[in-house]
Amino acid sequence: MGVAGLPAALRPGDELRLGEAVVELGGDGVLRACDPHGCVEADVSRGVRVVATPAPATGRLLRVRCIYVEFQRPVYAERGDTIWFHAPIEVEVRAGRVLVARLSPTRVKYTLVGDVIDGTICRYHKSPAGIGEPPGAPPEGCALAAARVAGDPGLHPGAALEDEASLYRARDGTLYYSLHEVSVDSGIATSRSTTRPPRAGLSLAWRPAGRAVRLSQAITQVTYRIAG
Amino acid sequence: MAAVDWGAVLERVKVNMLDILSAIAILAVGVLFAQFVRAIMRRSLAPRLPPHAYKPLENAVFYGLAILAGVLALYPLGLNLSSLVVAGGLTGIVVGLAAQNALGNLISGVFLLIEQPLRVGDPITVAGVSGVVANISFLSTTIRTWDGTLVRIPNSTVFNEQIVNYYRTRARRVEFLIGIHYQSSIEKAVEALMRLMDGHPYCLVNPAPEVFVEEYADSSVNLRVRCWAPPQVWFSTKTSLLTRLKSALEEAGVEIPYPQLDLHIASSQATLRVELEGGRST
Repeated sequence: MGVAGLPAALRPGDELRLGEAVVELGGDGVLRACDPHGCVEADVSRGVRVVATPAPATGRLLRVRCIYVEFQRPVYAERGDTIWFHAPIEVEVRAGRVLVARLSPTRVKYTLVGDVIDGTICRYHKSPAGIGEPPGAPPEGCALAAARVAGDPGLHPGAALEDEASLYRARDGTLYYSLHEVSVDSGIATSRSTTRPPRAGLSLAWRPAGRAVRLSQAITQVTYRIAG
Repeated sequence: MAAVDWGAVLERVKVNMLDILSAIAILAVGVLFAQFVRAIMRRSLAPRLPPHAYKPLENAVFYGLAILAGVLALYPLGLNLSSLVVAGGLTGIVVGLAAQNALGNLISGVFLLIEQPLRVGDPITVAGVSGVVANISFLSTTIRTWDGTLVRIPNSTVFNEQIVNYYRTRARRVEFLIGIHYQSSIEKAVEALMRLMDGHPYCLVNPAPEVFVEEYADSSVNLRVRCWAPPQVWFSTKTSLLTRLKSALEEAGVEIPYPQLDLHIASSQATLRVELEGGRST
């Protein structure tokens, strides 16, 4: 029996497939969670609630602070423009309140944003991008993300999302990262995550533990160089 | 011979014993209190802070309280800080000479804690010892070597030696040299090695991996293979790449040669006798 969309509660016999990630809860209580980088198995007592929720793609293999999405082609953007793109997500599988597995529906790859001494290691993803409108529906295992540009006009090779970003869900099941703000000054782009949904009509699907949603709150930031 | 007033002697000894017992009690209570505070700090700070942040803090508080208890323990013995300061001039010289190394280590320890060239958990090489920093106290630094033994190095040695810290960088380069056969395609080998690194999760996209011909050696064309990896997975990246490298080249039809020597015989008249195992000869 399949389960569609995230978040999802799994009952014995259920199976959730998302990209290359699979979560199965057997009738015998064996929970099996696999992705391209390995599998986790656990026996789960009958009656314990097993839930799969989406999470920012910053926890599988290595714990990192950010996701860097390189655009297939650099995007020219001016103050007030919104760049839409696809960003990977991960799946948290919990039994009760215990985190059993963290899965990546897409293959994990990392990149260094900045230089070797004081740069930041980020999860890497390549995506098409569009100004004002999303570049089509995101592939399985990805969410839509939006970065609002402020400051100087420039050619953006990509955008950085932070692990403190929240995730929202539309009625059709599409996931969205919370809105990011990118300010550009003298060829340096500074990306900040906010807790705001990128568009109206979305409901909260995931937020960092211990943090309440406050509107327009800048939390963390990543700086990178763009062509100005 | 004058009679000894045993009552007065016993009274004096009793008073002195009481003072000594009081001093010991103050010292013991003080040290226990310091340990209690350290335990409380560890319990509250450990879940929130990394070891390199909370361990120096708890050490500072523990030793501060223990020294305070030591000073307080002197009061019942009739010693106070002002008399200690006066006596300190002379005793300082004596103690200083006796504890020269210990003081050197202590001062180096303080500088190490301030400058933090290494932190608990960092993989390092110092004074010829490689491993992970297990503890940094005021007098010494303990390193757990790669094979699991604990090595205690005095802080003055750590402070004065060259320290190689493998974590204080965002990325480390994985690098090796691989020889391919002269009759194999260099382009195919480069392509296979680049594909191998692109498919490895820890080989960073930026700085980009690279493969290039390093030299045309006696028995092989040597290719230099490089990729950058996060420092915490540098070793596993290197070993997994090395493990997969042979099959990646074999799948691409690229041969890794043995050392070989071509023998050219100058005279066409000469007969070369070759003996094979089993006694047959040609």
